[in-house]
Amino acid sequence: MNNHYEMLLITDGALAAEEHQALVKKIEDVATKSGGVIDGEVSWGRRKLAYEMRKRKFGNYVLIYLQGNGTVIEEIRKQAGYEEQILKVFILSVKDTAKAKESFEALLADPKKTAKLMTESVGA
Amino acid sequence: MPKKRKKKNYAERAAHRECPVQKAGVTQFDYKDIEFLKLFITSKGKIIPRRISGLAARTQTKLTEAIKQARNAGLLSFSEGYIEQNDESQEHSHQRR
Repeated sequence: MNNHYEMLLITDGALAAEEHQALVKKIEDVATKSGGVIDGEVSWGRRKLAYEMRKRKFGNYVLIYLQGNGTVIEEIRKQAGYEEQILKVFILSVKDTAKAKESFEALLADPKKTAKLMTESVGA
Repeated sequence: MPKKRKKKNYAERAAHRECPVQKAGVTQFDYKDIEFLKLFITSKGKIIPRRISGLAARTQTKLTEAIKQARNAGLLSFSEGYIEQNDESQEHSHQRR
C-alpha cells in the first residue's frame, strides 16, 4: 500500500520561471523513477521567506502531492540535497492527496477564510 | 454581617470558559494557513500560552504543531512571527543574484 505525501518545495526566488520548472520536474522524475506516483502540483508563487535560507530572501513555493513508500522520500531528500537552488524540502504525510490538494486550492482562493471565522466569533 | 463570598480558584473559573476556536467552528489546522496561525502568536513569534488564549487542550496541541511546522517551512519566522508579503524589495533581490 502506498503512503500519501504532501511535499513543499522551495527553490531560489531569483530563478527564472523555466529554471524553476526544470528543477521541479527533475525532482518529480526522481520520485517517479524510484517508484512513486505524482498526483498533482500546485504553485504558490514567489514569496518572501520568513528567514534567510542559504542567504536568499525570496523563494518560489510549489506543493507536490505524491504517493509512494519511504524509499521514494529518502531518494527525493538525497537528490534535492545535491541541488544548490533548492532551499528546502518539507514533506508531510497526509491521509488523501486528492483531499489535501482540494483544501489547499480552497485556501489559495480565500486565504483569510478561517481567520475571518475566528475574528467574527471573537469580535475583535 | 453578610456572608463572605468564596473566591473561585483558577480551575473553577476556567471550567466556564468555552474554547474560542471550537466556538468559531474551525476544526482543521493547516500549517499553510498562516493568516489563521498568526492570530495565536505574538509580534515576536512566540506561541500565546493556553492560560491567556483560553483554548481547549486538544486545540492548543494541534495549533502548536501547525505553528511549528509553518516555522520549519519558512512561512513564519522563529523570532519575528508573521512576515508581510510586500512587493517593494523584490526588485532588489533580483539584482543580488
